[in-house]
Amino acid sequence: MPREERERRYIAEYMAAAYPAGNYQLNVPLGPIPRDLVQQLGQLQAAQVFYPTRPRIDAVAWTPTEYLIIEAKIREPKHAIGDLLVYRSLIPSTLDLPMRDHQPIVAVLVVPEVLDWIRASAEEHQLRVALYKPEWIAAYWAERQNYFTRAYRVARDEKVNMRKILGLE
Amino acid sequence: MVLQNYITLTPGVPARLHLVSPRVERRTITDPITRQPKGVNVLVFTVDELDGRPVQSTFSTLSDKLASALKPWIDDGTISKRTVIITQVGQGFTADYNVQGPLR
Repeated sequence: MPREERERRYIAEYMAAAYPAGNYQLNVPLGPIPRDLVQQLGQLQAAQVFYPTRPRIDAVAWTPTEYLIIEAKIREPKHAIGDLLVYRSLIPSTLDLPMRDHQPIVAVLVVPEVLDWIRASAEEHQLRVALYKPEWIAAYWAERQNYFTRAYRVARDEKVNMRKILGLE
Repeated sequence: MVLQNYITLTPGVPARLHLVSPRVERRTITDPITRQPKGVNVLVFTVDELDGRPVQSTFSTLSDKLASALKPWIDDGTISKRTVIITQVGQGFTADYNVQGPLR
């Protein structure tokens, strides 16, 4: 059965809703490109060659007054907080950020629920928290909660078998 | 006018596309692992501009990651009002995409 890219869907939908003019980029590489590679190949080609090995943040967005680095998580927001701290530390060494023009950096955590510990940690680390909860999140959470139950496993196996019988796999 | 049947992304190189007429087509492909034919859903666009030049071409993707990035603009009907800039990262199963879509 095909895997659904829910985290990608989540950040893409959030960005489209929050920045309808499209002043943002998804899945953006961060961090330095090795200097010897730049000397050998030039900045552009070195960036292309090194691209796959660089960490990538979910999105960046730009306004005249702010440069936003954005990480979204439907589940495990703790990981997103940690990731944002790493990504923010990489900004000074990232020379190819799109549309960066000396705006101050604002790190944004996008989550469907703002629990107290998320808010406290975000304040401690100077992260902005954005709440985004599209309708499909509730169904996804219900699915996750049931995922390891016997009833869900049986239903899932039946669905997979039917897909095979119908030639959809 | 550049004639090119299908747009192929080059890893690491941004492609600036004007995408119109999004649709999902059912196609049969050969599974690269099992070598068996199988039906897949493909997201297909007509492309009338590539890197600032007019073209008559088609862009299609099997990637759920890329489709997820483009879907909000398909759903809200603005995709044809944008220049979509796609940079492929890696190839095959590990391919990923950097996507930007400013309004034109």
